[in-house]
Amino acid sequence: MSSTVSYEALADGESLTTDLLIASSGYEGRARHVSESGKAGAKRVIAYTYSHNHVHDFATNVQHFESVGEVRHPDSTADFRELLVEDVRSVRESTEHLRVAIDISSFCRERIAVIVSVLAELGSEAKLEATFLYSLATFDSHPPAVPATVMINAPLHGFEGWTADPSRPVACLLGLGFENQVALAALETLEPLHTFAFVANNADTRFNDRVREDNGILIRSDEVTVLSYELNAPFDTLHMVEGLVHALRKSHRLAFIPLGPKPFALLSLLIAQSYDGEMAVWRVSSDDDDPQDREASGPIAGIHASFGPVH
Amino acid sequence: MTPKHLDELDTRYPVFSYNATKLSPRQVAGSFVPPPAFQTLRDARNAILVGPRGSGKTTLLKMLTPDALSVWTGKDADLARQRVQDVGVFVGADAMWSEQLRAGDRAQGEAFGAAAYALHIAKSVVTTVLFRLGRAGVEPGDPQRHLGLTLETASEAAIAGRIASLFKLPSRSSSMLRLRHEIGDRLNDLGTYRYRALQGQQLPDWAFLNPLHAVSEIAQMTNEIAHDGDRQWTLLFDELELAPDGIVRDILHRLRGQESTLIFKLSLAPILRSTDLLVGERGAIHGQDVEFIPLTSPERSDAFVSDLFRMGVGSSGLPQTLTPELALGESAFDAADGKRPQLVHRRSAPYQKGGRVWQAMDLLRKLDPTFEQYLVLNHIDMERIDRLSPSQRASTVRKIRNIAIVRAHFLRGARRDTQATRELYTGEATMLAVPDGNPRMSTILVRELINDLQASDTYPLKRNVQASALEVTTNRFMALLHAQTGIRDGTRAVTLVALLDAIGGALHKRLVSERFSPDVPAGFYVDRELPEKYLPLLKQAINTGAIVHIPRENSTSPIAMDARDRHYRLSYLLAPRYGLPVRQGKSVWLSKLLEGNLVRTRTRTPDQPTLDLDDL
Repeated sequence: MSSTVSYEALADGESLTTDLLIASSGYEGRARHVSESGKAGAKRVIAYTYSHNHVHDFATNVQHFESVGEVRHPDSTADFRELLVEDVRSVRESTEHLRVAIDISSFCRERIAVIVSVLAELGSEAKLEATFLYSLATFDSHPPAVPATVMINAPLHGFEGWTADPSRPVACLLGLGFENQVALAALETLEPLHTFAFVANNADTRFNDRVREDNGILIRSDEVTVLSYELNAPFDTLHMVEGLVHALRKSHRLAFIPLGPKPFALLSLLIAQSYDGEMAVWRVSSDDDDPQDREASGPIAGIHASFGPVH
Repeated sequence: MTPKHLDELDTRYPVFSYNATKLSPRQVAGSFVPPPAFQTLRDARNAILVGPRGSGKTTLLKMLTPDALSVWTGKDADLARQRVQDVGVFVGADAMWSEQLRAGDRAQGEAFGAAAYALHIAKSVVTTVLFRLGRAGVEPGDPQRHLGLTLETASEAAIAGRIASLFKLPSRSSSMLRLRHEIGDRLNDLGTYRYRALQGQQLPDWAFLNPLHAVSEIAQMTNEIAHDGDRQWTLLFDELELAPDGIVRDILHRLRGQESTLIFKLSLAPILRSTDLLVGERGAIHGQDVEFIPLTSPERSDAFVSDLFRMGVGSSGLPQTLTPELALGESAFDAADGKRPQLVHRRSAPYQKGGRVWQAMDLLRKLDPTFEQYLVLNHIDMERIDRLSPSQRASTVRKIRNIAIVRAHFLRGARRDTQATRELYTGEATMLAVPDGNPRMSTILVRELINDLQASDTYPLKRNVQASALEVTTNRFMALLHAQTGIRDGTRAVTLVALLDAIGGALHKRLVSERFSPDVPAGFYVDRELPEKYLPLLKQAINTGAIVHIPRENSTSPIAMDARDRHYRLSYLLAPRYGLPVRQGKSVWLSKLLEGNLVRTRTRTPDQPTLDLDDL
């Protein structure tokens, strides 16, 4: 679905006023941090649960969101999409210029993809403003490195990409995180000619050390260009990544592999969306039967995106 | 913006390179060392290359294109140019493209993928014609173009127009370059129908194409206009299993009949769904309709690695006289008993009292009463084995030599997959065998060894240095295996590596912990007692080269629908990990082999649940 997408930075301390906060009510403690902080300035809050992993802070989160808004219980990704479209449309009925905030912190990448594609779809009908927010997590709430079992290694639905020249080489833009072997799995599948690995700079330097350790085989190879980005500055990161995309797209087929912190996944999806389905966004996922709680460390990063019809 | 810590790291591991998929034919030709399969492929009519990832399928197909043949300078290059007189059109595919076609199929039905692939074929044909005309893929100073073509402007326009018509393009292009852009534009248009489906728009008439018929017409017309006689054109389809099913079936079906203008040379993974068109009554007949060319072999493939090594030496400034034998020295498993007699004089006397093999067998005799009993029962006198004739030694000692060496190594307390164990696999004969003929892994090993030789004052290279090169190579192979998607078994995930660990562990146990036997199994037979749920993992094992098919009477075809009823051995690349000798041996039923062995799931915590194959 064609729509235009433009972006703006979220200024430090900027106070928002939005019609709707879209949140995830999962098992992570940080799922309610944005809502509790009042950052979104939302008139209405709707949170969506998952049908599995009702552990850790799940009950507390549901209780919180029930107290400040509404909780939906989709039982599949398709169901989530349907509910989301319905909810956003219903809010839009009561406002002329829709502004929504989305807390992506505890959404999985699959649902973030659905959110971006739904906003683009609705934005193609009438302009809407979205502010994506992200709660940084504490280092201590991340588990130690373990060998991962790769269970999904395929593009996100709706973000498979397209090309006018399948013989062009592939270039991958890879967000690095703590996932052992998972990045290699995607690269083995996509066989890129060039790989650009993005490592998030975090105020807590233990994150950086951990990324280096977990991705040693990749980082030590001289076949990957490693770039760093500021986790709390998604707008700057978007510009940096988009610059690279612009330089590469005429000669390569591009695939994002957004492992690591969610903001990189969001930016990948936004850029892919803005290029009208040209780039692929790859999902590589390890076994998830050992859900890890994540606690918010305090700071909230964000970016504004504006979705509008093509004229 | 490179993080500071990267400067501190001095180790460089090859992670993704050595993959012809991402290289142009010209780049592939730059480092091409022809394996034995190249000649077979070159001289065959219709042919199917069958091999796992990294077995060189893409390289071999790209080497049949005019652009690769034009710039290849290897010693067999002139002969290849002389023999290859058909026009090779390379049609590649990869996982990303395949997923994009599938997404389109989900939106518009199978016709979408078929249309996209047809346009891709068209673009490949036009690219090849452009090369022949000298308009694309050529550089100043290039040698004469292989199968070069000269066309008048009007002739080129006529051919371009015909291609546009056959592929239902909107305008009749007057030049090939413009035509190539128009095909790209058409592919872009087609892409929009993924979204148009949501608005109920079906694929238009122009998306329904007959690409093989079209290529045949184009070939004939080009031949006629260029006075090129009845030159044949070869469609080189790489990783055909990734193409839309309809296209795969159409191509395989055409193998049955001989086309007058078109030849098909394909590459396929060893495990394939559409085998009904390749085997059985409806299938193309090997030797008649098509030549099957397996790229894996149950036998050792030392010669290819040796050739690569010599090429590496030649281009690295090392002395041209530096052979693998001189660079790597003798292998523990390589007692000079009958092999390459011209080299024997340079070798040690391994069977002499105090020699390497003698020592290993003597140690084993002391540690292992069952080995001592075997020697007595078979009248093998350790004090006299160096006096046996080569034929006597072959019938008594050679068949137990490698088993005895590995068994002695582990019975004295060594552990698997350690530096000390990898050193056991050093030395020329074993180092050349470990990559198991896999070009990608062979290239990595040779590169490491050449680097080490350049940094070394003496040779043979020290065993610890060779072991490190081996580690880099096997680590790279393990990365490929770890990258495979696991399967669900109830609530648990099981991986390919876990299954291989179970198989390798069981073979090692039989080799080291059970009573000594010269017939200890070295391979396995995938029997029907093994639950079907493990077939996807075995498919991954075969398609990644982790296990190698051993042809037997009823399972000679290199292609099969699944792994069952066939014999396999573990890749020699896994020998150091599992502490197994580089050897073939008898097979054991896989279900029996895994009895009592555990396939571990993820190693997240020590007490994590495990999958017990006893309950299969």
